[in-house]
Amino acid sequence: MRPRITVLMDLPESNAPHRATVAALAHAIGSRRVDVDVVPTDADVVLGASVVIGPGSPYRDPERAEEVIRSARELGLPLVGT
Amino acid sequence: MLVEHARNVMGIADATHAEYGRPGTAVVTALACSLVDAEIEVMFTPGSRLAACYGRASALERTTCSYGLEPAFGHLASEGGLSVAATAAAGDVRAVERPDHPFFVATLYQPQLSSTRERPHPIWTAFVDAVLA
Repeated sequence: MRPRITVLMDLPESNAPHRATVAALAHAIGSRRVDVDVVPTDADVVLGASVVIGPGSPYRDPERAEEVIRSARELGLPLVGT
Repeated sequence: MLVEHARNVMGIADATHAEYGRPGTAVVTALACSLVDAEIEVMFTPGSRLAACYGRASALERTTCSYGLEPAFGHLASEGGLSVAATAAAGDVRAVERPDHPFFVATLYQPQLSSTRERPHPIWTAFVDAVLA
């Protein structure tokens, strides 16, 4: 299965930092096979095994963001937050 | 990420981010001088993951941050398995990382704003390398 990176971010696509975050990931991935999805903090979906905590606080659901960070820390999942 | 660290690692159960206006111990507070749409020089801690990512001692980075680690809680950035990865000119913490974790990096600047297709940003490249490791 292809690795999947979830970007936890509430900013709309019209927001420049939103677009820059997705673009920077695409630049770094290049031709490698990695899926990326952008998920708002208050969406009830299963996250990928790697997480980006996107810019744009305050988050709609800060408790969910904190839980995601805690899981990544405790389980050793790659995480970057900007 | 600093609030999660403060609450769940350092035992400050009521740690908060001042932006939310909730009661508790604000460990992340408004910067004395906002860095929204600013360019800052960040200096990497020798031996840190970030220093290895960049392959140099400092870099200019763009930021949209108006909040940062409350100075009275500066020690949180270097306790409980967290370490300071980068600072700004005044010694302010600008990035932290967990050396004992496969890849756990938080920046108080936005490296995505200086990434280009021709020159992917080293933090994002290192992150994707870790995802594929």
